[in-house]
Amino acid sequence: MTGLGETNEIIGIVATETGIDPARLTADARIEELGIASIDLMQAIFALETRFDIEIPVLSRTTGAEFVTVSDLVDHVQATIAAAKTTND
Amino acid sequence: MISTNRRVAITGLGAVSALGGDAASLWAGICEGACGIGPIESIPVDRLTVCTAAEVRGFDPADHFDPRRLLALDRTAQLALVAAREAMAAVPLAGRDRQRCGVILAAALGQQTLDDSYQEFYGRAAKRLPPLTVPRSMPSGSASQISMEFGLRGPSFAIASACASAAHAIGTAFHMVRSGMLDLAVTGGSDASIQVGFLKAWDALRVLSPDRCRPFSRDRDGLVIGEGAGILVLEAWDHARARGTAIPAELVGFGMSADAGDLIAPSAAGAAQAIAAALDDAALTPAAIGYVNAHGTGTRLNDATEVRALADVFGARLAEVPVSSTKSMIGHCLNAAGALELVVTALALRAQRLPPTVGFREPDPECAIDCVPNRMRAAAFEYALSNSFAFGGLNAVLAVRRAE
Repeated sequence: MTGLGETNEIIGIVATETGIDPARLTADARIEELGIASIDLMQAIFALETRFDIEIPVLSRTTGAEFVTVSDLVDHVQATIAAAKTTND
Repeated sequence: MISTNRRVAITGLGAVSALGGDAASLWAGICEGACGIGPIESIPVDRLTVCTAAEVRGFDPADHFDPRRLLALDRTAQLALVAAREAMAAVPLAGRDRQRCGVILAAALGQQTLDDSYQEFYGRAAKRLPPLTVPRSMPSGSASQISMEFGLRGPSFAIASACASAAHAIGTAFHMVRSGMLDLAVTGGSDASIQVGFLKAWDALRVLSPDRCRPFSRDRDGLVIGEGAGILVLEAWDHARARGTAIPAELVGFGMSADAGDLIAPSAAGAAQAIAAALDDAALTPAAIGYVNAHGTGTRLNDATEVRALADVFGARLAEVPVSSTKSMIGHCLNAAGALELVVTALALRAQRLPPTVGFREPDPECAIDCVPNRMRAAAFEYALSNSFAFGGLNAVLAVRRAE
């Protein structure tokens, strides 16, 4: 999968799980300002973990606040996918 | 503002059961003497000994909830919300002080969520479980969902007493409205217990009938698990009257007791104490009661013990008091049982008809009562009782009056 295809898929999953229009999920959009409820973010992370068979560490102390913008989340997921691939190789 | 001993009207009724998706279909089924018990269709039965239940058939959650909301709803909460919407349809909320409106429900685990999560985690070695597993399965989940759906911000919680939970919840709600703590209570219970793991546990108790629930019949051989939800709206009588709304029935008494004896075997003395307490709370004598909706599980021990308890309270007059079991038609709906049975009792008072005990074949000398065998009958009666006697010896009885 190309980086762009993967990005689009990640955005698509976040949009589905949070009910937010994907057009609003631009790279620099701030998750807090998008009005994503914490349980919806947890649901999106669960779906991303299931889809890519990865573990996305989210601290209970911050419950997702480590992802300030949409690109923070996408970058984090892509880095975790890449790390998982390296481990598997 | 706080007054004591206000009259309490039942102003809304909602039901989802094996006889259909609303209170009207439940009542129509009762009038026909229909039986909602049959072979289990909704779950795999290959590892179950007993494969019979009273399932809610044809219930598609997507007809009632959008997909994102469903992520947070166990089947128990889905059934509760559908019944609550029906019960609240006739109850306007505009202009009310929502802090004086509460939700008091039977506590009911989200069995579907738990069963699915155990299967995923232990059976399929899933690496992760859905993030809403905890709020979906918590026993107070349905109470929360109803309070959120209608914006009810008064005292709200869930009560556990096994198979008497709904009756304890309704009784508590009744006392809270009567005492002035609440003006409106949404109350009752919901249970979606037809899950493989839970039914396997019931198998182990050896109380399930292989095919049919036949309360008070000499050949009865056990109970049948059912699922469903019964929700009632209780309001201060004067408020309801002032609004000019239809009042199907009035709640007039609530009695409780504990057997403090055997964990499983019921006690006639404990049950009789709860019946007497309900009459006392309603300031009634046994002579006033024209119908009893029995706990009537269809086990050998429950039915004979319940009849002994009734004989203790009613004496020789018991022969003249019709006593029937709704579980013969909708199964034992566990945490929803007392609520669905109170819905039936209220509708019976309004219609002045006696719900039957279906599947009855042969009188039992140990159950020498008029159990309204197999066919509904017309009757003139003013007051009725609804009995709930739980495992663990926790008993609750509600007294209801026909609304004039």
